[in-house]
Amino acid sequence: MKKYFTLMKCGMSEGIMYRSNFLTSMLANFIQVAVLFFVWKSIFAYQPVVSGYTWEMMRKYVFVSFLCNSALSFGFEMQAADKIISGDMVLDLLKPVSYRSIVFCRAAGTALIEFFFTLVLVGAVYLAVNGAAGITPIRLLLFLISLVLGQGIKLQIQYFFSLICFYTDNAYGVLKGREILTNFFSGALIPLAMFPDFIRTVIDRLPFSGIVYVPCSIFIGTFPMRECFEALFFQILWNVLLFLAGSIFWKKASSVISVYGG
Amino acid sequence: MNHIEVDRLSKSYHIAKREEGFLGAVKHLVSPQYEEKQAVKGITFSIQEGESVAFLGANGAGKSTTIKMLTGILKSTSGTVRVLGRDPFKERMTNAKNIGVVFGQKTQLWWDIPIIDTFRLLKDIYEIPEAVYRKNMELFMEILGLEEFLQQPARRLSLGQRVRADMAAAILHEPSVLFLDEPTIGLDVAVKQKVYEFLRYINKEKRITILLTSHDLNDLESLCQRLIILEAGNILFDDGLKKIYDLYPKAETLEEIVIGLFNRRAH
Repeated sequence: MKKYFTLMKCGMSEGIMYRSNFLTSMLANFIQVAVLFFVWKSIFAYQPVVSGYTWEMMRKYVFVSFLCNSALSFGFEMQAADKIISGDMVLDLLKPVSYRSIVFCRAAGTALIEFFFTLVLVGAVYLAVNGAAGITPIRLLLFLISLVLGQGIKLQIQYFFSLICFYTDNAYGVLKGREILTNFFSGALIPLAMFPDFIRTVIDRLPFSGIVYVPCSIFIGTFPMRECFEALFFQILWNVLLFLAGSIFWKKASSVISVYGG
Repeated sequence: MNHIEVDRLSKSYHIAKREEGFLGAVKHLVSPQYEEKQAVKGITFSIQEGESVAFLGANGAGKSTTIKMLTGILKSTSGTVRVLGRDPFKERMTNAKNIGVVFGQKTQLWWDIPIIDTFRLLKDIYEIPEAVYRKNMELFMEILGLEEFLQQPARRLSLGQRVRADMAAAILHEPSVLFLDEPTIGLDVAVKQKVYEFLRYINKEKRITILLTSHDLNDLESLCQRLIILEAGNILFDDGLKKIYDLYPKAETLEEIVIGLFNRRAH
């Protein structure tokens, strides 16, 4: 057990080491949030309700969704995939710990730091814009559980995509594809309730909504209590399914390792 | 007791066959052609506890591939491998506990955190008792001179410092077998001396079995009792290092013999 904890601590040290990297990319992304904020504001100036969302709800959604999606950043994922392509990951194979545990613990450590930085920034802006009204302890608790489960889903999807790099010579394209997929289908850009019905039925059968849309909806209260628990159940289910899928894929991918020369 | 047993081991790579130029690239896209390249062609050998064995061969002779199969990174195509009685690929993690590996061209140190943190991490990963950890660290400081750069992250180290630190990281958990793949590549004479002195010490005093590949013939002579020469995936020579002079009575140094062997390949 201790080894996993130490791995996480090293991941945290790395997260602190890369803080300026992360902070600049987060600030850049935050400009996108600011733009979204003002676009929504002008939309709601013409129409008080859009697909059941009011301006009150939307100005919360914009910030909470950003918080849900900023940890486990692209930079970290890229590093892991690069190690697969360059062959440096073989050194992780020479440890008496599974490769996935190394990747997951390291990512969890870094993500904690990333989350902390985002929370300070976004939390302050959120409170300045919305105040603390409407935050109840029970919703907050469910939100935190859902957030952690959502990060689990995101991490497992990232792991799955990084394994694809065993078969390709390029990581950037694979991971960008992953990023676009999760951003679009998780509700990071637009609340999923605003998608047309036929797209919704597809999205509801995919794991992505658990990353952003579910924790956000729990937090801002668009899900009634019953739906919250249902959503949490599906998040757990997806975590289990993705874990199994990751194990199967790893078995296949690890036997095609080909590291030439040095 | 045999620490390593290899029986008719072979490995072939599945390699994409591309024709040159743009048209070739398009052709490969439409109907990719592959060829099997045999890197190791059914080699058999065994290594006893406490032996120190040198693997010698031209670039591409199959040394690294063999080491990667012995360490459990690569899956063999056919034949059997046993390291300390285990199949290294099937029982990779158990095997990892009992072996140490140094790749001269790669590092297992964490790039951005102080190397002392990497050592502490290794201590927990391998579940090394505190007393053993302390004792080994003291030894490494003394022989390898790690003290001066323990607080630096790996990215700040010079190549010589990095290799010394990697060497320490590989045997911190006191493995029974140590694999080294070109550990002294690119090092200056002084560091090389230090590294070989260290390897001799752990081989003699700690009875760690050593299997290393290198192109440094003089140093191999001072460290290894046994020599295995690989050529194009086959074993060309496997005997006591001194015996190779009997085979080539005209040659004066090991270097001459090896150059002769490699030249023969070019023709």
